[in-house]
Amino acid sequence: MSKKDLKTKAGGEKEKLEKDKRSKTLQMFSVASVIILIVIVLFVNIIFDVIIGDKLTFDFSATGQNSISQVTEDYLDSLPADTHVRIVGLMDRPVNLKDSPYEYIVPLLDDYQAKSNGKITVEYVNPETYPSIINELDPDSMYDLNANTYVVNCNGRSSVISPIDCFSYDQEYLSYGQYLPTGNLVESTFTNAIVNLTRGFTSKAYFVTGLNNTDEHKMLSNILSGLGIDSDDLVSSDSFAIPGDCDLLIVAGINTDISESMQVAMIDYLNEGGKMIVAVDYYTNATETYPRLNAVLDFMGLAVDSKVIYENDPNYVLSQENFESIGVILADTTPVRIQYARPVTVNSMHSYVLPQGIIATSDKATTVYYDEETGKMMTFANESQYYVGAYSTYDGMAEPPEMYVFGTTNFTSDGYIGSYGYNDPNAVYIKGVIRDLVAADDTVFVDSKPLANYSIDTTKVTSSSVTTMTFVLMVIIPLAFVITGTIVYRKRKNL
Amino acid sequence: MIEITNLVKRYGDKKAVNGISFTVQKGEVLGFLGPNGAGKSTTMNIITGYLSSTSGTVKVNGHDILEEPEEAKKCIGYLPELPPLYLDMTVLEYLNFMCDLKKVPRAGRKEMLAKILSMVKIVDVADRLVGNLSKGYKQRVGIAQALIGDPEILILDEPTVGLDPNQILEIRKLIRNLAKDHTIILSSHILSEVQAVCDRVVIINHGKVAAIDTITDLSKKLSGSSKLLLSFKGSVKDVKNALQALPGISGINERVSDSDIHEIDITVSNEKGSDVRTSIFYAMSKGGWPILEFRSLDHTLE
Amino acid sequence: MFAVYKREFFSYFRSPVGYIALALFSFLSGLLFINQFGSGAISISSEIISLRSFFVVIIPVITMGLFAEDKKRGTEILFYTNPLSLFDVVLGKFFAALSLLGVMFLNVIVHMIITAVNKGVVDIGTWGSVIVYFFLAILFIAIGIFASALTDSQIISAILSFIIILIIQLISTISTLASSSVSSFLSGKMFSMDAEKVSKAVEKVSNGIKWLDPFAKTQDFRYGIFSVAPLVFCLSGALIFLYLTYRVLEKKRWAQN
Repeated sequence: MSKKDLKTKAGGEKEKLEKDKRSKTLQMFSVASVIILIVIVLFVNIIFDVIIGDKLTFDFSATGQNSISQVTEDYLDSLPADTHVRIVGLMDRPVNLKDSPYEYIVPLLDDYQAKSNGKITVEYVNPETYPSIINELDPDSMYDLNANTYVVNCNGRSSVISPIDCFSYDQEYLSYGQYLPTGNLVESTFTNAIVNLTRGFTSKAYFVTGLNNTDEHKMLSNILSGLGIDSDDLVSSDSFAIPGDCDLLIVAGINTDISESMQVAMIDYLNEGGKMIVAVDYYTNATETYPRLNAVLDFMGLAVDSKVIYENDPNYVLSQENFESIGVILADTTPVRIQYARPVTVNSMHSYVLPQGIIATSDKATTVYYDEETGKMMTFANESQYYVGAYSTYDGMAEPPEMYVFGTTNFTSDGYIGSYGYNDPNAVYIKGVIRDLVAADDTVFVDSKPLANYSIDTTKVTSSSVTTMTFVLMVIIPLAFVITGTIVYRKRKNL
Repeated sequence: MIEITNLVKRYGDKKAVNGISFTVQKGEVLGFLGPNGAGKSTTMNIITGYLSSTSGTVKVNGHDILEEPEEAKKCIGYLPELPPLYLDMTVLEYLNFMCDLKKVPRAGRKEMLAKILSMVKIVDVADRLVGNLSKGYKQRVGIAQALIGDPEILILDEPTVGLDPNQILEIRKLIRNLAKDHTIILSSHILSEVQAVCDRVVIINHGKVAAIDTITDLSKKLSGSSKLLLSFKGSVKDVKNALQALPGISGINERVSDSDIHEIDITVSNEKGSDVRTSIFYAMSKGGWPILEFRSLDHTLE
Repeated sequence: MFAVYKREFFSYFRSPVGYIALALFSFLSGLLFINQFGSGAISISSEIISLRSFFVVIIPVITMGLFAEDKKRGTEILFYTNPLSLFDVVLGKFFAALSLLGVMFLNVIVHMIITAVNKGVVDIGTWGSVIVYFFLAILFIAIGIFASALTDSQIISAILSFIIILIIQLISTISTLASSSVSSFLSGKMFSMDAEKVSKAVEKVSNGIKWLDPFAKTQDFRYGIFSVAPLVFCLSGALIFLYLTYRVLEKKRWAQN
């Protein structure tokens, strides 16, 4: 290899380096720009995350949970200026509100105080630190005051509210031992307590208990209390008697028949112009036929059957479970939910007894009964319209007896009202029934506020609507896309 | 119009383009001639901005392709070796998309497309799917695509490759038509094609420019060292002697002999510029050797 | 940008692929909705959140061809040799995929209307979920496009984006698992390091990893609590991937191998 060759080779190397400069620069630029971008992005994110993130977080969640409604505000305004209602929380003022019941209680009570023009004061006194507070609020030891409850006190009378009572809970979760609050009743509970303490109850209702009742009718008591009606339990016993102050007798969710003495007492009560609400269903005790209760009902020309209504019209069948269906309030065709209902029969043997059906099934319903021998549901083929609720009264009396009978507990039970809330058509209807029976004047009623309750109007969830919806959403729409796609493809393929 | 100086493109250790320089004048049709793999496509890709050169500059209409790419690209219509066609679109959809891509204003687009469609003769397939067209039609759609936006410069990379002879002739005719009002760079590995349509030719081999010349000069040079094929009846020896006496013939090789029919190659070195073929004919007729075939051998760079 | 957007968006509807994707999405979202409808309680938020878990399949499918197909067919040369920026090309394809997702989402809008008609809840939390849905979609589509630009095979591109999106969806789980195993490993016999110190250090690392989880960042939106920072996170993540895509395309120009 000559010197010249070496020289040109070296020159070539140099040339190569120089000529690669452009792509090197581009590569450098490319990598550097990516790195710079990542650094800037990280920087911006850290700024947003750490420094100004909180300021740029907005709470648009359901408002109104923590402020009192116009109904309450109007009532507070109507109170005389010298009224003084004390709300005492028997605890230290809760600080960590998030994810506890106090999240909705503490700020709302503050709002009561702020908007009441001094008529309401809210205090937090821990009875462990100041034991004298118990004696001060309840000198006669009537209320059995405990720590971690609220006491509403006015004119020497008190009402005790536990935070757990301030919410309604999802029925399903209750059965698993977990509480999933679905309704916020804080305002409704406190306003009712204030109303009742300042105004006093105007009427009295009694629940007949001790007959294997399905529940403790807490929800119905709340409704009564909201309507200015005090309520108490009337335990079944041999010496059963209906007190003279009874404005309304409620026999709801019993699972054993009443005793003979009760039968006599109730008929006597009705004879004197008593008002009654009776609600029994099928599924809590399918074999019970309630002969003595039916004797009382018979006095009003009514009866509950021992069968269960089976709905055959798909427009009336609700899809969740069997035997759940829609009943229609005949007066205004509002749909209500019924489940395992017994048919209520109407049979007037005297012209002065005026029984009438008020809630009915479709005219395609049949009844079934449980055959104990075979253990199967037997269907009666008699397809017709059945009554689930009925009303009866006497004609030509100054103070006539009145009675509402329901073949379902969907209007009265804690389970139902708890899971569907006080604004459900069924609850609204029972409120109307109570108002109708006990002429209560201008009541203050605060609705519950929904808490993450995604229930829709389930009376629309009939099996036919589910079928239609499934067909449209899962068959027609996808199929339409597939067909359009096929058409477009075939057309274009041969262009 | 286009100025290319010292273009180098390196792939790893290999230089696909190694210092190519040439210029293209306005209105010219430049042939880009070279065997496969010589760097024709790479050079074209660099001119059109698809690739960036390792070094060297390309100026289109005064705009450097690296510094003012958008300005430069606006002047160019490019048909790459593989026509960039969307097979799932109809011809018209595709050309409309190209109009959008080249930012052709909506006004007058229809007329422009109609003109292009009739120019490249694809009016009757305008509503057909590009994927269903024959290769010749696809090539035309490719050319139509390059014509959109009325660029001054057309760069066509092997526009006739893979077509049948009929289609080749039609495309050549089309290019000659386009040459009337476009500057065209056309690459090919077939000499006759370049001869048929180009004014000037750049021959490249192994990434380097082997020659730049006008077609007429090139033809002269080529014919200057061309070969002729002569097939005749008679004695090879006599013919050889007779022909070697003629001026401008530098060599004679015997190719095939079949009893008294012979075929010979005649290497011509015609420096004087006169045609040696006439004198060969007279020499043959004088000797009484009938000519059965007499033609010049084709030149390709393959 | 608009030219590329128009072509890519309509190309979804030129072949049966777009229609089949739409049909599948309609079917799936319909299934989720009907299940809720039948039970009598409809939370559109949880429907949307369930639909988000299909991103891992949907997004690779709708983004896999965006660049891979161009590379395979040689049409990508158009983007380099025409007077438009490569970043516009990236954006055009990005918005085309996002629009297809938007068309699919019309199903959920129909479900919302049905819910509202049936007196169900369509509250601020529902709209929060919608916002999160689209911001996560923006991030994942950017990832899908990046994967598509890396290869000329649609399948490889789909697998790549599938894996990346899957990892992001599992980030929280991964970080929890990793931190517990690492801390037990470090405080075990081999290293016998101070357990408390180790757990603190590991917690920091796992928090760092969790910081990258777009799902955890955006979980409060469904309760109606809107925050700008997580949205900035998604957008900037998308920006990084789109820019990387642009760089990958640009690399083709000067790369020497």
